Amino acid sequence: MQNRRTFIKQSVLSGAMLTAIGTPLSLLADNTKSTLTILHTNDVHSHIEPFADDDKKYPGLGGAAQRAAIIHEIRKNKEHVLLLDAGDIFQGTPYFNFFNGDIEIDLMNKMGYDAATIGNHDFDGGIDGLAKQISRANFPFVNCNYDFTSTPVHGKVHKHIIIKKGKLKIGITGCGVELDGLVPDKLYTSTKYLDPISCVQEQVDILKHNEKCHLIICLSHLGYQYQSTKISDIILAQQTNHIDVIIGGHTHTFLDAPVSQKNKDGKTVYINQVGWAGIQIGQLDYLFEKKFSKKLSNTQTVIVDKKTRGK
Amino acid sequence: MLKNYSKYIAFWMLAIVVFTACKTYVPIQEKFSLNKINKTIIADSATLAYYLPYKDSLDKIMKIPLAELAEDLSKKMPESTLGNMMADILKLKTAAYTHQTIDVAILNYGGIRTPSLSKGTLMVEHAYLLMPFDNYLVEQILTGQQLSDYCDSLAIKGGWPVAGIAFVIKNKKASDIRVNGIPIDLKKNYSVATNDYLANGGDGMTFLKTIPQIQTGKLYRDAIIEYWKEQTKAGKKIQSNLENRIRYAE
Repeated sequence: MQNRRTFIKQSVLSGAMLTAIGTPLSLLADNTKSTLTILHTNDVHSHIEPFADDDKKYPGLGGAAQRAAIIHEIRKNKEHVLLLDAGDIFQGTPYFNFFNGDIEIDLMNKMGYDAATIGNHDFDGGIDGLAKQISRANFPFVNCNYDFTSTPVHGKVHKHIIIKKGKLKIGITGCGVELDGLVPDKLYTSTKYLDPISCVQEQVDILKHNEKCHLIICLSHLGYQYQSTKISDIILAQQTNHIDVIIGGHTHTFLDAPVSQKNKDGKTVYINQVGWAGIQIGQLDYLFEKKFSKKLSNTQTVIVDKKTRGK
Repeated sequence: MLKNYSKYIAFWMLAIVVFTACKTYVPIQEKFSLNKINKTIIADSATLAYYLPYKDSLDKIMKIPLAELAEDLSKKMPESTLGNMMADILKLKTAAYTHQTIDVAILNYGGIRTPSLSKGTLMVEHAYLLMPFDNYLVEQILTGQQLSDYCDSLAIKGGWPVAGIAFVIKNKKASDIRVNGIPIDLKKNYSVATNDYLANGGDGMTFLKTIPQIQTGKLYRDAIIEYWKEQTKAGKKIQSNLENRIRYAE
């Protein structure tokens, strides 16, 4: 108990010292400003328990209970929090083999995930297994480039969603990797993979022009980057517009900080991915200000703050 | 005079309303941080309480010791100790299940799902971490030409775990291909052990799809468990070495 209290105190203190944005309380008085914290995971792959202490690469790292503790902690200290996952929730530990994804989804429900996208391994329980787990989730699954018509998943996945946090309107779409040659066809059955660039563009056009979202996020399970011309988050960022952030997955890439790319209008898109197995949570703290929309070209600046919790 | 003023006031008020309506929330600052999840974080007790009954029931199956691992093994391209152990098991157990000679074993790099194994006791759990997929062992007969083309694909991928075959990656192509020490004969047939994921055209190996499969009906994971048990029974520890199976040209 003593330890936990000390931990909370320390993180509150370090949080306050490191936050250039300022505390939510001071912002309440200022209705021209608002903050948003995006927390994100990817490729957790059924890692419920922390890695073993004698693990060569990740000794003692990760764990759903530790992840939940951090999420609770951040929620207490931030104005608006969005918790997102970029897919491959399933497959990798016996929890999935024996309980078919129930534990992973139950835990995500308890942690209060706001949205997730579908990774290639999320088909590993078969198309019926995926449909069942999506139905068990308290949060929406977002994907716009898989055509699930004539599969049991049909009607269960959203092409885009809009989440309102205070005065902020956040648009989220999602996309997934080519399934043919990657996922056994008996698992994905008649699911059709469609071009992510045009599908995502169609959704973000709606989110930008019709819905007038203040921030547009794409949850992507395309993979960060390839040596070949295979479509990746880098290519997605460059060949579309209106996306502010791509939360990526699939390639298990450990990025130290978000990577910026210019979209087809020359505006900045940030791409982030936080490795795999739930050993870290990415955090993006946004400060929004009410401004004239014409002047907003490239005003944001990224401050990188590599913080290790619990130290 | 007063009337004039009220006109001005009305104008400015309208202007303010219009300008305010044009205003929207825009991100002006973004701060990034990484929350590393380590042992110093006090676990959330409700989460622990939720999954502990499942953990207990799994532990009864998973924490069964099977063998002793002599040295740490890890996964790497173009060749690794962990990859060699996995390919050796694939070759040996497929031969045992089919009662046939297997020349070569090939598995996809991404099919090994844990990057390393630490020396010490190997348990059922480790077999699940290595191979969580319900992949089956299968045998396919490839011509020397097909096998050579396959090696070229592996060269482009950067080198996958193999057994019974060796080659050098030169300019993203396989050269000096040897099957069990003998240069490959493009006209000869070779028996190749693999998993059904690859045999069904997985990981981009679509050409394997058309080649008939000899089924073993045995899961790769069970083959690993059996192999480890057999080694223990024979009084041996598990070990694996680098043998220059696949290497880059100097």
